[in-house]
Amino acid sequence: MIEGYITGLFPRNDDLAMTWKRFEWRQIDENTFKDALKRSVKEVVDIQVKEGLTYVHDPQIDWHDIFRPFTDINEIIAGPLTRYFENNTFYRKLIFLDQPKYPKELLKKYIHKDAFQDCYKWIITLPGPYTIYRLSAFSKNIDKIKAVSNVLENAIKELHNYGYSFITLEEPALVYYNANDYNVIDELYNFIKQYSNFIRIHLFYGDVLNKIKELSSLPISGFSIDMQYTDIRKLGCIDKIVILGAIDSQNTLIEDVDKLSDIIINYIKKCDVNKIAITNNVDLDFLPYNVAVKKISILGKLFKKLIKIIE
Amino acid sequence: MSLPLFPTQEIGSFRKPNYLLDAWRKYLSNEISYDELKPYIDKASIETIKLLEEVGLDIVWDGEMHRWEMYHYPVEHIDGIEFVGQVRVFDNRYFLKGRVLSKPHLKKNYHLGEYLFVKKHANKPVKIPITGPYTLSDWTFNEYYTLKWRDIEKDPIRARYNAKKEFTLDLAENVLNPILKELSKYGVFRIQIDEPAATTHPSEMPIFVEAFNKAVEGVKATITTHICYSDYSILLPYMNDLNTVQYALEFANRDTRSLGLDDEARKGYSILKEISDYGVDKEIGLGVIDVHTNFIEPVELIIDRIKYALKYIDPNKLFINPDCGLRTRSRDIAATKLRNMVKAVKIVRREYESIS
Repeated sequence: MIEGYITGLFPRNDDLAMTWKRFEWRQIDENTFKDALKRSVKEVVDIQVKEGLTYVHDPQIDWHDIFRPFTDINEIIAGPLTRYFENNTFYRKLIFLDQPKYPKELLKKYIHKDAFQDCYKWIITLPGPYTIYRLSAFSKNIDKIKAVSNVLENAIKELHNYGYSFITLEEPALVYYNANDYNVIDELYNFIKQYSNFIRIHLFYGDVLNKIKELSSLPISGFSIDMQYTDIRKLGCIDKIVILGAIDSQNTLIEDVDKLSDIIINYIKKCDVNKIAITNNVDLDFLPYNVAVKKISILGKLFKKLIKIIE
Repeated sequence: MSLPLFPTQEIGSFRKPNYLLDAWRKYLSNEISYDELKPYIDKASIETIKLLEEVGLDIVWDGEMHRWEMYHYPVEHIDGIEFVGQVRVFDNRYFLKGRVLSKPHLKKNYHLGEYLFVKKHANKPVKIPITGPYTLSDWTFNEYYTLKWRDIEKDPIRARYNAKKEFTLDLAENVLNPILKELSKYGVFRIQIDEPAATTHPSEMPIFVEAFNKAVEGVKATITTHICYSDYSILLPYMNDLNTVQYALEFANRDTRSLGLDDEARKGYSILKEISDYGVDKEIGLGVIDVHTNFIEPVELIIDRIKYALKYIDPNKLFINPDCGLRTRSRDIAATKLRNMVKAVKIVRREYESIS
């Protein structure tokens, strides 16, 4: 069985970016802004539906960065601008001032349920616990593991209640984890293990060939691997859903669908995989909007081709 | 040209006056020609030079009035790269990003005219900021070289590395080096190579160093560099390898606003100890102003930041500047921040001079 879907934040189109500025400059009212946002969300949803992807990803175009909604929690503030791994895109470091108290329905205002067709299965992306743990700052005397776990466990629970099919946790920090942290990772994931069937993790910005075996014991249902950094011809077989980050969101170059499908089919044959998925390697937010749209189309073509071959 | 102790400098960009922003937008949307834009540039350039001199900086530039921004300006003048669309930098801030479609070639020395203009109108020593080869390459979608190397190298990771290396070195050799050599013939005081992308890909640090050194090869001028919003621990092992006399770095963004000279209060400056321990023999341009907030750093806070740095940096090698270009702030706020910076430096300078 094969699935195709996009992962991570989607870019704002030029009109929405300008509308956003005009809203900040108080040149338009909140309703006009919200209407524009709603239209843009719908547009990205419709593109995914048109390409026949297995799941529709919430575009998350109103997230300034993957961590930002958590700054709505009273005990967490937005800190300094910090480079998001190997990008020229920056996030605001989360600063935990105190043990966080997760409010009721924190993420509700970021969810655009009305843009989704009822018949569709929808998904969303959150930062993974270890990535939050590594990339945040904490006031003294805070139990870091407890603080991160509290936020994430509640966020996952909330999204689960909204009816998402699964959540992708972006975990680029796991690609670089140091062996001393393994207990930390174990503890962080222990807090969310009741959602293991609901969670897939996305590993990117690094070669995970030497990490994947150690990480395979984490209580999650699947791993996605960045094909730009990890040579999947050398990748061993994994006892989880293998999600291949085949579409390159760091280059405008349009992928050769035939070449990609050959590589993926070889992997499927080698490992006798019964469930595999294809997606983008990093957030499409790192591309201009029009190119990101083209990349969904390429993902759709690759997905259809693979279905045909497998069938 | 002699400079006082703890020379003060801007990093490069400054908010354009509204009349120039309007004119630039009209020019970019083809409503007016460059000849129609130019008088506005000249006016704003002179105003900014005078403002920075009046504020009291020891080394000045014109706030990059001749450029729309630091990536757009060079790309406009390079054959082989074309703009492809807007990409987010942070929050709702975007830049127009290009893609390389053929080997890059310089159309014309895009820095010479602006340098001569600023030199003519400035009374203080001038430092020209120039976007470096690695940053230009890293901020461009690499189509041409990726395609080329995919055919040569089957390993996707090595193919990507080689594609990046060849593109960056081509920019250094064919674009940056001729520009810098020509500028040096006109007696430029200091050239600051801006490389904010330097540490973006830790595995590519050798490319960054090789390209930087290739760009400045044979250039008879004082070369400095500016790197911001980066993990400086990645840069550290390479700091002595770069042919630059100075690293102007960002610190205030990651510091606290508490007064004090202890490590906790000055946590944003912690890398200075490592720089010192590593034996880095370069000037440090100390970022003491956060360019992403309207918070006006009090003189006392800036003094503490400078004094903390002096625990680790030779006083004769310490320059004082904002973290980065101030274009994100209004001109009034930027000027107020800079005035406090100059006031703080004068106080610390007096203390040091009285001791010595």
